[in-house]
Amino acid sequence: MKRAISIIILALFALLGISPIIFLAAGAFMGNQEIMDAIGPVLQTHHGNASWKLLPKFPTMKNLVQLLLDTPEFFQMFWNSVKITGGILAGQFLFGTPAAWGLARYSFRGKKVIYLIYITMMMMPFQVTMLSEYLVLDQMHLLDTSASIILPGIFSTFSVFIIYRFFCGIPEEILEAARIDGAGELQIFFRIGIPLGAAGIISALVLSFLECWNMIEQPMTFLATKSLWPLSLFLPKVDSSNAGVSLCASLIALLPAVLVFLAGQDYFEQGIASSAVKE
Amino acid sequence: MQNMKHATFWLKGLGVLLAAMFLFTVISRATDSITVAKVSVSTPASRKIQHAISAEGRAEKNREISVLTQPDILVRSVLVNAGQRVEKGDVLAILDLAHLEEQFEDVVGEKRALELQNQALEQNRRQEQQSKRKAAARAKSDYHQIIQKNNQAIRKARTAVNKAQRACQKGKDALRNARTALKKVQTETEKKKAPLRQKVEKEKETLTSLEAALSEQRNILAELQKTADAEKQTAKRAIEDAMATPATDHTDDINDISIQKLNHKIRKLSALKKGKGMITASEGGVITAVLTGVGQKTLDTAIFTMTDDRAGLKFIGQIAPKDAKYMSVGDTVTLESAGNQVEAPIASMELDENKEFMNVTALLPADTFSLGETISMALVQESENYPCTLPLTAIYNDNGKKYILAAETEDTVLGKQQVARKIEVKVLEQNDSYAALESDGIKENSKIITDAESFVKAGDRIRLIEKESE
Repeated sequence: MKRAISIIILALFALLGISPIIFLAAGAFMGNQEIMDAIGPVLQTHHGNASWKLLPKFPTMKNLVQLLLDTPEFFQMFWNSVKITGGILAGQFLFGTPAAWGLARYSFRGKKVIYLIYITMMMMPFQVTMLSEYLVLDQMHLLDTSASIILPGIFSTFSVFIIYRFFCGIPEEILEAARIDGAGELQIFFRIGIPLGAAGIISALVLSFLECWNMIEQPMTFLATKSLWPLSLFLPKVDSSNAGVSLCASLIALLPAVLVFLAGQDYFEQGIASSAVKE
Repeated sequence: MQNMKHATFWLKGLGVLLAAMFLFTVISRATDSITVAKVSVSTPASRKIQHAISAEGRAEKNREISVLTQPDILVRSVLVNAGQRVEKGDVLAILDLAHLEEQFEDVVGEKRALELQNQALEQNRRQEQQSKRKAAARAKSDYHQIIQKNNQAIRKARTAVNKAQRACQKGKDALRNARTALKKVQTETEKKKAPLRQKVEKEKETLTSLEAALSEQRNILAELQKTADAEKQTAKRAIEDAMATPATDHTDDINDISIQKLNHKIRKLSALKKGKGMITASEGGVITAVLTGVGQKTLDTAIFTMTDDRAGLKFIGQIAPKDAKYMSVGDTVTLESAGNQVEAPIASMELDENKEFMNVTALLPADTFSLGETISMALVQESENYPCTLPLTAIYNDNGKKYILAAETEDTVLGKQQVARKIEVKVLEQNDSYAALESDGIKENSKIITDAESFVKAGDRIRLIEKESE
């Protein structure tokens, strides 16, 4: 009985959690007029109270067709997002993984200080580092280029912190055995470190993907050229003429994030579990 | 291993999504290239606005003349019809000779009567003048006689008055002496005084009678003078009446004028008689109207109207009133018909009766066009040089407000794109092809949309298919 109640309560919370997705899925197949009738009071174009339906009254593919066939701007921004996100993730894998390995597996002077700096940096929101980042990027003549978003993202401390925790979980005995067997440090890193820390690396990359895919402040700050904007800045203003397309765009923008999350979900859970067991 | 399969499945899904997105990227780009309006652009140019005005018209007679003759004469025959061409000297009609002779005799008789009347008037006037002169001489003579007679009578009366005055004075002296003598014997007895008193009384009586006589003489003198003045006035008036100018009488002058007219008529009738009653054309031309007929009497107005070859032809065409502002009297127009092309100045411009068209008239040079020929008129007028002109297709109208669309490069999500931007303008002058605009807000190198393959509104993305600058 208790279990059933728990399931019902959890189901209610889960329903509440996915309600935005239901909102998106239903709205993507509504006509503009139907959407404005429902959310017009929110946009102050209609009187009364906003309402929503789970199923469209008059389902239409018009918005989807318009988005896919008649909105090249959407695809331009989609591929901008892919470029930025892919660049950041590749960079994080390239630089973040060795950094985390070094911090986790080697003892050297100042290690704790460096780790403290990492933690401190990770806790700082973007608004704090925005000005200094802007000045540095300006000096490097990288403002208004995709590199102005990718470069700071590559050296994000968050992914290093996550991977660090996984690398710390690898038993020292395995590494010692490898050394005895004659393995070099690079071999140990590539043959033992990365495979055993894969769950952590994937977890870090999945989290970074979600963060980068939804990035808004950085592009708005560092990118003046509209052709470089990512998908998160598509249709910032919703009105009666583009409400349906906006919802469709949001729904499609959601798909890569969902797929990436589902692909990395098992590693993500495994990593968290092993980390918890280790702790 | 299970995790790997699970991840691979979703990663494949991600791959499919990316592939689909790539496919739709290509499709949407292709669609965009079709739907984005392709436009032709032009930069503003400095030019003069030409106004070409043309009209169709006809060659018409420039002047009509009338053929006149003496009125009230019977027409025996009419030899021409309306529209018939005649040369100078051609016989147009023949009058009845007997009736013409009768008219001639009537006029001659009328003239003779007036001449006799004038002679009688002259004779009467001379006699009257003679009588007037005699009457005046008599009146003057009477006047002088009356003056002389009255002067004599007045002199006599004055002499009698003077004499009576002297007698009165003597009477007064005698009375005074008698009174003085009476005073001297005042102290004497009454007996002595009595004769003296009687004398005084007698002298008083004498003086009274003398004074009465004097008064009577004075009255006579006054009466005489009054009578003399009246007679003098009467005689003077008689002279004035005798010398007065007789009343004006212009009967003879009027008769002279009538005689002159009759002489003129007689000369014309004589000429007609001499020409055996034939009426001929004074100039070559075309008969436009026959206003009399056989058996009718000639009118005091024209009996024929006809064109005058000497006056030539004129072109009359109609243009729209809106075009009239580009033409003015004196402008040279090109007239063309059947390969024949001449230039002629505009002689007049005036609205037609309905005020719908403007009639344009130009005098045609001699021997260029024939009467009734259809002629094309053309005139090209150039305005002042305007610094900013554009093809008329570049001008849009929004509820009376004129605007143009300029192609401008704008930073969009798709990169640098050409976008239509609205610029409100004021049209200064235009023809069928170009319009002159106020250059405010329009740059020299602005690319103005002059033609579009589909409808373009402000803010639309466009593609340039031509960068040609006119």
